[in-house]
Amino acid sequence: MMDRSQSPCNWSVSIFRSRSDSRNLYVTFPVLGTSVADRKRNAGQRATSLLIRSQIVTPPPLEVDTRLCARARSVAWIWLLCALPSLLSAELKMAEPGPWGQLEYYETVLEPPESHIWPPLYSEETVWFFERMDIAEVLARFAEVELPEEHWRQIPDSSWHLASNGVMLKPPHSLVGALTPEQRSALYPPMMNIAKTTPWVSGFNVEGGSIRDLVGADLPEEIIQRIEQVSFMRGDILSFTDLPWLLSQIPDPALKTKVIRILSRTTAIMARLRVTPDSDLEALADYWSTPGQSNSPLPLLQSAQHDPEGHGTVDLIHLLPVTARQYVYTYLNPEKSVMGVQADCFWAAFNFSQHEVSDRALDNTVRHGFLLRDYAITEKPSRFGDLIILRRVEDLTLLHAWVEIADDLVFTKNGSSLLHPWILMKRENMLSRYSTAEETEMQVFRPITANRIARSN
Amino acid sequence: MAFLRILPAAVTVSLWLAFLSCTSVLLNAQSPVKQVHQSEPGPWGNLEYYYTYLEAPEQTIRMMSVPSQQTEWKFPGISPDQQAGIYREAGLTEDQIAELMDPQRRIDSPSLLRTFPSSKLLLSLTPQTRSALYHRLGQWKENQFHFRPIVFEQGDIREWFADSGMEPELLQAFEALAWKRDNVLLFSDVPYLLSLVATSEEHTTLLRGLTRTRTMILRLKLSPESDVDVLSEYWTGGHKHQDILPLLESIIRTEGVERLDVAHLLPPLPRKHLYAFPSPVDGLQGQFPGGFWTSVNFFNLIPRHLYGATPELDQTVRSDFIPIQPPFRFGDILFVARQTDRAVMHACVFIADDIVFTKNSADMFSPWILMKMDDMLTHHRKGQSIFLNGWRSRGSVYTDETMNYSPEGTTSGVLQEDAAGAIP
Repeated sequence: MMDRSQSPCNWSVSIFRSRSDSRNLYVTFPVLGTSVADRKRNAGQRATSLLIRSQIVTPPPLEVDTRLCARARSVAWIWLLCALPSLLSAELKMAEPGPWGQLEYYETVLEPPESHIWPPLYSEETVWFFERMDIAEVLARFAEVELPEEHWRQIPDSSWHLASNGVMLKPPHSLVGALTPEQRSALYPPMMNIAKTTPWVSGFNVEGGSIRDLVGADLPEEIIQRIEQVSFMRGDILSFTDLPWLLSQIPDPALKTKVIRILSRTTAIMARLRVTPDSDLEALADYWSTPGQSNSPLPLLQSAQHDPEGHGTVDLIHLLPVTARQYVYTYLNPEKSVMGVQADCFWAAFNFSQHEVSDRALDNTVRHGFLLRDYAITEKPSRFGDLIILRRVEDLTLLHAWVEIADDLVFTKNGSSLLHPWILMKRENMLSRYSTAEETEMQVFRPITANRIARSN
Repeated sequence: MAFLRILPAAVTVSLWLAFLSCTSVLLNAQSPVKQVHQSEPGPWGNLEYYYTYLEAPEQTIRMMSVPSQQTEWKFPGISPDQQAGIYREAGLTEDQIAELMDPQRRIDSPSLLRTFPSSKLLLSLTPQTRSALYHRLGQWKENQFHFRPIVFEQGDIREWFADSGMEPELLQAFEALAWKRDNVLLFSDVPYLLSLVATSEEHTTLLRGLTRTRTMILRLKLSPESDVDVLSEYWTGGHKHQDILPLLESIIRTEGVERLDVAHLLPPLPRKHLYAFPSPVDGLQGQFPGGFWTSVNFFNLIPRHLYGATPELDQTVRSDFIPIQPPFRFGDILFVARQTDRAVMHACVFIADDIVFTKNSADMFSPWILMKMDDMLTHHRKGQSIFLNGWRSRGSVYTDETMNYSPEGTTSGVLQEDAAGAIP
């Protein structure tokens, strides 16, 4: 099993915006499905990507563009935490109907509270780690990306550190600031999967694909320009990793905190189930039932169906199991950390249906045991509560886990960081955060319960 | 002439439409149209709600301790003569009393008189007699169905069980055997109902129906005219670390979304439990959460194991909360106390207007719900004079204005022991 400190769940987050249509956000399923427009635009690159990942279990395909809202720049409320101001108008969207019924949703943006901005995030020291390379190879890499020699020659010898599995380099701010977007795009992605350098090296994706949309009027123009200066494209995803460099340009401590919080914003989905006089309530109640449920969804659905105008809704929060209901849209409480180990995607997925959470799910040594004991492998996700594991084919390292909700909506916590809340989000958005050149595959696990066994019999 | 030819047909169609209309009304009686109510506007904004019903899940129903179908009345600590006096006082006829005093229908011990009335006698009681007698029986905890009867807060049994699958025969029995206290409709004759069910399916439907609990789906209405600063201030409960402003703005800016379910505005723990029945896990500490646990843990992410009869609960209330006067705010604890001896019987949390978050008994069959305050009080008044005392978390920024207030009597006067033991 992998070392927790290197958990890929700390990978950068991602989402992208069409260059030709700045009003809408175009989201592409990053592993298999792509938008039609995007396929045309990036045909060569995408084809390679698809070839590499040909063994991946196919989730419901996305045949057409998935336009996620004209940006909802609003924020869900987080208990004990703050959220951020909404910036643009949002739009209510309809999910594809299915056994889950007709879901409608809109987006909100969450922002971690100041209490979650821990000291290492304020580091102004950039650290690059070149895994499985020596100094000569690093220099060759610099040459390959056409980094001018005068730039890397100014790096003092004391900034180079040889490690057992690579080279650690602490580049001067002048070098970091001088990189072109293309050079960042070439140098940074391999480093973003390694969480052993600076806390921010995992970086983040600019959700919505526009720095200005993300921060709105909350930051000075000068700061926005500097962020744009060091942002780069990772495939279709606008990314940013040079927080230490950025902080070094900001003298005001309060503004530094504000910058970190704003750059840590996360987009989440708020959804509700539409119930009409024609809805099959028994079927809906069956779909939205989970093991050990503490109430039956049927009476809630019945009440919604009696809406005099014929379009009653049930907020999805009432259909989630109690633990998911408690944690969704919240950030990790630092007090819940166990010896520095914090709830991550696996903790969130394993505890989804539990009435009381178990921190045993923090121990990566027992995860396979949980899967063998409490779940059965199934071919494809089709039920509320199905647990999906994303793993690397090469060494079967578990990269990520999440829970299927309905359609392309998932419940996830994307990493153990205090900056990553439990959220509902679109599957393709979540997977974009785990985009990698390595071959990966998904496994679908269904909770084993007496009820479901009886039902299937 | 043409008009005369089509007249009979027109009359027939009209009659047929009238019939369909009547049929529709009848069907609607089984599936009542949801009525949306408006709360009084206030610093909480404009709230609307509609009633819904909760039913315990299958696994909880399987854990129900189902009684015998033989009705039993218990009279602890009194003599047979006193028992007969209670019957007379309630208005039972001499024939009815004679049947109840028949040794064939009773088992007496020095400490407890047990009586087993026949179904015929049960059905023969007048509403007034039943109400008087059951009110008296309900003063003894030994009569569990009278001590804690089913409360039909809205007073309509058929509406209460709409969509429940309950057989008409059972609904008739509910109506025939219901009784009143403080003008509230109650029901206690569960054993008799069990005698009416024949199949296991009917049995399960009845048990599930008995767990029916009315609650409300509460939504905050938002519009561009909403004062989000005021709303945000109210729904944070005076806790500085909470900020709902962006969420409210989000709703206002989202076309097609005008309402926010209040569940999103609750702290994590009540959000987890809202509309849920306790699971067996909730009882691992030896007690199930009730009103006190629910109230003192409202703002806690991780609940403290504070139940009714512990000195720790008393200490927590005194150290973490301060007494306050109305108007109450979001998150305030309301203790329901008896006027006669000032004993505290229940606690709930004020949400807004006249709505509280409550768990009305410390067992598996009572869910966490939102409820009108008056409805909550009908569960705990039990014919007694009661009063409310408010307490506010010291973590709230709204404590300064109330710090000098001392509730009626003293703090210790409110939080004292009652007959059941030490409560907060």
